[in-house]
Amino acid sequence: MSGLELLNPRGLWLLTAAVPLIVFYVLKIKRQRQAVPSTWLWAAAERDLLAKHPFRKLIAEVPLVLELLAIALLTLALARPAIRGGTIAGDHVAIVVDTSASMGTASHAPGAAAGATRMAEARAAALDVVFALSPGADAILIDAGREARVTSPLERDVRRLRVAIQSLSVNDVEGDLGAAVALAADRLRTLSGGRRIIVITDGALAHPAPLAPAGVDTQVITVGDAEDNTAIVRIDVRQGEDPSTKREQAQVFALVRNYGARPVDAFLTLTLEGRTEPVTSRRVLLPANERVPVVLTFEPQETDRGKGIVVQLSPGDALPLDDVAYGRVPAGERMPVTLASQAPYSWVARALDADPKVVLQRLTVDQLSTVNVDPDALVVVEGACPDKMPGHDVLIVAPPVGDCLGLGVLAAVDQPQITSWETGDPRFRFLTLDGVHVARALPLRTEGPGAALVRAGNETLVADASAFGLTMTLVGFDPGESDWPLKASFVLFVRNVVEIARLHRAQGTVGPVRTGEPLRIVVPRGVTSLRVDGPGMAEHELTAKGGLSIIPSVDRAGFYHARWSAPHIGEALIAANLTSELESDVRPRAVVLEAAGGSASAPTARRTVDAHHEWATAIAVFAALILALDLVWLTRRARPRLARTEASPQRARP
Amino acid sequence: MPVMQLLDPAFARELEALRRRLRVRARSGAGGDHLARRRGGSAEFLEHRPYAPGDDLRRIDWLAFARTGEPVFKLFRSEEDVVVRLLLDVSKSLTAGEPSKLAVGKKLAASIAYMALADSERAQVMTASDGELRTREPTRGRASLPNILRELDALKPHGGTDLTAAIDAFVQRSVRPGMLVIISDFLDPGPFDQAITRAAAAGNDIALLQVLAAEEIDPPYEGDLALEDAETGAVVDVTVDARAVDAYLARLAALVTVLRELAKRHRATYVRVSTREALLPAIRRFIARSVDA
Repeated sequence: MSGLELLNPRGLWLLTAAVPLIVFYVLKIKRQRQAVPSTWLWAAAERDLLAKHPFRKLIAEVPLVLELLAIALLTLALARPAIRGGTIAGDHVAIVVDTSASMGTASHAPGAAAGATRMAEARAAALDVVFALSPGADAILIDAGREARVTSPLERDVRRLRVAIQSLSVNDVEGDLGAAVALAADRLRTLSGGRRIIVITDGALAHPAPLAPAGVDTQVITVGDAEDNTAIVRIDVRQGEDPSTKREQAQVFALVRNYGARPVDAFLTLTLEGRTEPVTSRRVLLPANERVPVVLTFEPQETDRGKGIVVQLSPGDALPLDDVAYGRVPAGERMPVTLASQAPYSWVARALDADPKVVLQRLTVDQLSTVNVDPDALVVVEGACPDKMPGHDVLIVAPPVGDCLGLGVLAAVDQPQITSWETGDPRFRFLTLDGVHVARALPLRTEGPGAALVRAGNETLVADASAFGLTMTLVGFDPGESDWPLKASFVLFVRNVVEIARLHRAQGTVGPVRTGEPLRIVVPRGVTSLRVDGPGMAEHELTAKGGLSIIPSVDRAGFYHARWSAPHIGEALIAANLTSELESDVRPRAVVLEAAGGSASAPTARRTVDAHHEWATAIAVFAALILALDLVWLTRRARPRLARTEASPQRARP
Repeated sequence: MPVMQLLDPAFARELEALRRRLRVRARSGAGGDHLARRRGGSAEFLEHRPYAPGDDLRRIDWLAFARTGEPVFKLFRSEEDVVVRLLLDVSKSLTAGEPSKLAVGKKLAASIAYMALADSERAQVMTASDGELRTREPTRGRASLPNILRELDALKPHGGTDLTAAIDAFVQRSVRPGMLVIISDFLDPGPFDQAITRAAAAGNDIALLQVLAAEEIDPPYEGDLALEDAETGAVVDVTVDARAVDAYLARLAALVTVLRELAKRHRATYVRVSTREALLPAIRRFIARSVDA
């Protein structure tokens, strides 16, 4: 058990209340009325005294002493004295440490080292808990990041627990303290003896739902002080067009929020990954506790396409993590399309050629495996269905009989009559297939609803074979064997397929990624292995299947690079951001426990391991008793004191 | 207060022994039982002197003229009729004390009246309140003592103190001087000393009997008080501590000094009586015509 600590030293300011109290006693006195035969001599005596001293002498009267004592005690109670340390009751203790992003906030607690964070404070508090375990007690350490994780199983060895505690670090994610407490309660549930959960958090919770300790005695230790913070809480990068010059430009939409009580004059600066000189910058005045949308625009060069964008908010503040956001320079408006066809004349190629925002690459089917294809390209194959295809989205036209993209291509039928199509599918938006006649088709065998896009009775003429992040379309007939190319709906269909591919390209390989969530990397279908690196992550190999590779969770914000070499060389850049309004709000909030019959505030202590060692309540009660005694004294029946004894030697009598 | 409490038998016996030592220095101008210092026509022979034309022939000592042939005039000690006037302050300030100052004052007045009446002098009770002087008819003889005691017993405290006006009223009304015994606490901011000087100049033998309550001599108060005047209701805020009490006592001592100097100047008597003090010593000091320190 260590010495006395004041959890709220600012409460000592109440001691200044003693000054006006004494002033009141000196200058304004509540007098008791006393009848005397004559006030003549007293008035004269008072004049004599006043002539010498403008102020009366402060007398140590009982009410004054009581009130000063009450003020002193209330001051002490407000300062929340607590004895740090002590023995924690419980044979099994679960220590749940909040490792969410807000724990990276700078700490200005008394005694904290320069640059210390709330995490350092939490580690110190966790160590205090470990050192205060009762003899024979064991502890389990749970890391409460985005996912709850047991860092140390039930352990009695203090050294191992200390090592585990020292290994805790801040994750750039929204925390889920509730899941961690539930995990702790679950681990303790089957154990016999005293059980206790100690939660160490800054109180800035992204999920404010009450914690559910399932009846296990729970105590919350809070770390960190209230801090102002400004954060980039949302970012989106789009390809756009300058309305005045009509030139392509990248548009970065950022939403900046000021959580402080004072306005902040800030700068938002955009740089490209690997460069130091800023591309563009903008001054932003952030009103107190408000969000401000900011748009940064620049005209990227072709070589900048696909590179990373870093948006920096300055000046820095207590939480540096959310002052930076990452993005990716969007691809240009001109969509790369690779057409592999053996046919001498292609209606699809003609439709693509009509689109000025398409860059058409013509290959043979065999060249698909040898020629480097843009990984974001839409690949159109006519008359074939290769196993491995480069690029991104795929359109297969008139595949051969057999399997293609997981679907079966059946034997040809003549004169199939189109009976219905999926009007809600984006590929068939704004078009109609009425009046389209197909001379010969290879029906497709589909499974599951929604896969058949165009039907001819029971036959499927156009089918969807999409996977996560990839749009793959099979057209079971040669447009040349129909009158569809002669109609506008064919051009619209091709344009729709291109637009979908363009949208995927604009979002990057996978769209916006938030830290703490699984990172899905979409790769070409033939890729089976890729290497990934990122912030806090050494380069390592991942497997891909069906054009998809998954990293279970990313705990750091920044750029993640994925590279593959087979069947084609390719790479993808993924930007991961915290962008959490709740997590960036680093102001402590009350931690609520789910109790029987409702919710209740958790017993909370600051940097102390046991709330029972806080003396504020007892001292406040004692101060109240003293005030009550003072009240009794002031309202008691006035009893004039008996005359002094005649033997009073000091008094000179006339 | 019952009559017997003002003057019980045991106390009366003490007074009986003391009354013969009572001397009055005033001249009333009327003949009486009280021996005057000036020579006059009583039966007590004083001395002879040669006859002077105009002397009363009835006072010529004819036997001495027969022996000496010279007319000799006989002188006798004059006997004067002295009125002992008891001016009792009955203002509300005399309600203080245990017993009250008024009760002690009444006892003093009764005692002096007893001694005067027993000495065949006349006694007159006067009361002062709010500057108003109320007088009763002088009475003589032991038989009139019960009346005086009843008058004293019936007195109730009322009004404020204005000794100056009361004494001046007395001087204006009194035809012949006598002994003026003023029984009061003298807690009066007015210039009563000048009024007393005027009374003394009118030939009155002055006796000042100051009655003070114990709490006036040794204030028991402490702390922050709003002192309310029993007579006027005026409130004085006082923080009573040692210094304040010392200042009060200094003021009281100054008042005592004024009274003492006044008594010395006019060969008067000054006796200070505490309500807790036995009465007989105070009566003795009064008989001895002393001036209390």
